[in-house]
Amino acid sequence: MSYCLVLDAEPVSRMAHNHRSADDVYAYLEAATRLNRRVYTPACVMAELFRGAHRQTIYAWYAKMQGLAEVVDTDMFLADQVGGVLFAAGAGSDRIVDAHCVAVVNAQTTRGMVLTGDPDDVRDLASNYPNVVVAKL
Amino acid sequence: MWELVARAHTGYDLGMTLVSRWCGTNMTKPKRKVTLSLDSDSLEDLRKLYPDASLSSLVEAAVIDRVALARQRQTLNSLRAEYEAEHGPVDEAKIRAAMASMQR
Repeated sequence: MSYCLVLDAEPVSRMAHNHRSADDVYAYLEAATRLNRRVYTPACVMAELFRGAHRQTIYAWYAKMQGLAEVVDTDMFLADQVGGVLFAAGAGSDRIVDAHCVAVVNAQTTRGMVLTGDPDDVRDLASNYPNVVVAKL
Repeated sequence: MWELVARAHTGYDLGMTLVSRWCGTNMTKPKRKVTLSLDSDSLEDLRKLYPDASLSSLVEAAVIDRVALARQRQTLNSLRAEYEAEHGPVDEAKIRAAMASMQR
């Protein structure tokens, strides 16, 4: 069985802006790496971050994070999984970014953890997937 | 592949779907023939667990994973060193707590 760690927007943002509070993110990244778990972030999460005023900061971070977290593009396979997550939770497309985080666990591995700043939203979407654990930053 | 996707959607056979995806994504890349020696018990387990997958695709998936993890470690070391130079060390207790939450 394989496991992974999926980063939502908040952990990526904290690292990109070099916030003091990024230590919690580094703790999870170090834990995942020690446990031989791959780290992913959906391209959709990057889209959420790119919309802000700190676009250049996120670009610079994206260049640096190559190798640390694999950015997962939304292909037909993942799109199908995302649709399934939204449908199972009876959620609308306004929650598509969180749904991507849950779907990436299913698409990339058999079990995983989503690290997020909005655990309630993600937990609600993950409630039909016992293989997905949600951790709050 | 779509049959496997459908099964993944209902929560079954995610591991097999994963192998199927790996096979699909690497089909166009150039291949080299190599000779490997594998532990016979592990090989037997592999065949039982993934009866429909080729040995090459399974080994390739493991190699891809191992390379990615080595890169992950390298990049994390460098980013963490940068962060710690400015903000101080990441608390080992936090790392252990994160590991515990991942192993639950």
